[in-house]
Parts: sequence; structure tokens; C-alpha cells
Amino acid sequence: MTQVVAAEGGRWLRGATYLMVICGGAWSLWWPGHPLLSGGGQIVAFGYAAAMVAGGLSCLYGTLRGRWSGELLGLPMVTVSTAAVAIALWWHIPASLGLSVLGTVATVCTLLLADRWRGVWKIAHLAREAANRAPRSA
Amino acid sequence: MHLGLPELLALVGTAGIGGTLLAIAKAWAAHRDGARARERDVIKDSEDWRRHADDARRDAEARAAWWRDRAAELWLQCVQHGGQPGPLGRPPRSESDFST
Repeated sequence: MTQVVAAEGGRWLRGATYLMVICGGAWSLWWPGHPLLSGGGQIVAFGYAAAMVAGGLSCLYGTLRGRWSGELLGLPMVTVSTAAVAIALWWHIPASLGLSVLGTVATVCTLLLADRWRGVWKIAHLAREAANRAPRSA
Repeated sequence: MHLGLPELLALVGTAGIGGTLLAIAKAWAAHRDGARARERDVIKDSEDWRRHADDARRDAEARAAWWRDRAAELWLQCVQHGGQPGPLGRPPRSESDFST
């Protein structure tokens, strides 16, 4: 329970995070990063950027409205997009060691987003459990 | 099979699609069952239920203790008045006894 309460806090901080995710995705739509472009081409880079924007919008909506479903749906897209960026950066580290910092930051972001998804998943589970415990008349 | 960056990215993308579909199914199932939409309400409901369960457990323990005391008093009175009741016996082992 303590875990869930801890995961619930920081609404504005999370809102700002998702806003940055949307900005990052939008930026990537116009100017896709070299690591992703060289990894999968224009379509893959565009797909991940679009997922980042769509997921970020869903997460931002959920956070601002206090609805868990927004983050539950948006976080897989955002997490996977960040993971793709991290993987692409790590892939290019042997050629350019300077990318290691960016790769590490992207990995940390991925892990934090995945942790939040785990928290939201737990909240969804609790919500369903509570609904099944005491069915309300519609 | 050669696992290059394009294959890795495709793998991650597939996992993302799977995760999103799983999340859609989870959200749909929860809302179908009448789950609360707001995160704060969910947490409050869960806290209320936990508090209620704690109260019920304390109540049950108090009732059990009351009946145990009555049983011991009756046993003692029976002995004091010349009766020969059977032994009270040992208390049941607690959960912590089993774990050690």
C-alpha cells in the first residue's frame, strides 16, 4: 500500500515529465535523431516519435485529470520509445564514446517510466479488486 | 540469426505494441467491472477497506479473548466447587511458531 501511495504523488512533476516527452517526440518527428535513423530508417524513427507523442499525450491527460487509465495506456508507448532511443544510443557507443552519457540518461528514464507503469498497473489492479469487492449499482 | 540494431528495435516495438494491448485490455476489464476512474479514489477506497479489515480483525480478536476468559473462569469455578473438568490444554501454535 505504501508503494502505491508513494507512486500516486508528484502530479505536477509527472505532468512536466510527460510534457517534455511530448516535446521530445514532436522534435523527433521533424528532426529524427541519427542513432534511430541509422538503426531502422525513417519509418522506424517516425513510428517511435509518433508513439512518444501519442503516449505522452495520453499520460499527460491521465496525470492532469487524475485518471490512472491515461498513464496505463500511454506509458507502454513512452517507455518503449525511450528504450528504443537508449538501445540505439548504446549501439553507437563503440563508435562514439561521448554517447555513453546520453545512453545512460535514456536508460535511467526508461527504467523510471517502467517503474511508474508498474505502479499504475498496481493501481488498476486495486481499482478492479475494489470494484469486484463491493459491486455498485450503476 | 544475426541480431542487429534494426532487429532489436523491431523487437522492442513489438513488446511496446504488446504492452499497449495488454494495458487496453486491463483498463477495459477494470472499467467493465465498475472500477473507479480517479487514482485518488482508488487509493482512498483501498485504504478504507484496509482500515475496515483491520477493525474487523481487532473486533474478532476481542470477541475471541472474551470467550476465552469466560471459558477459563468457568473452568476455575468448576474446579473450586469440586468438579473435575478436563485439562484446559495448550494454546494453538501461532503462525510465527510454524515459520521458525
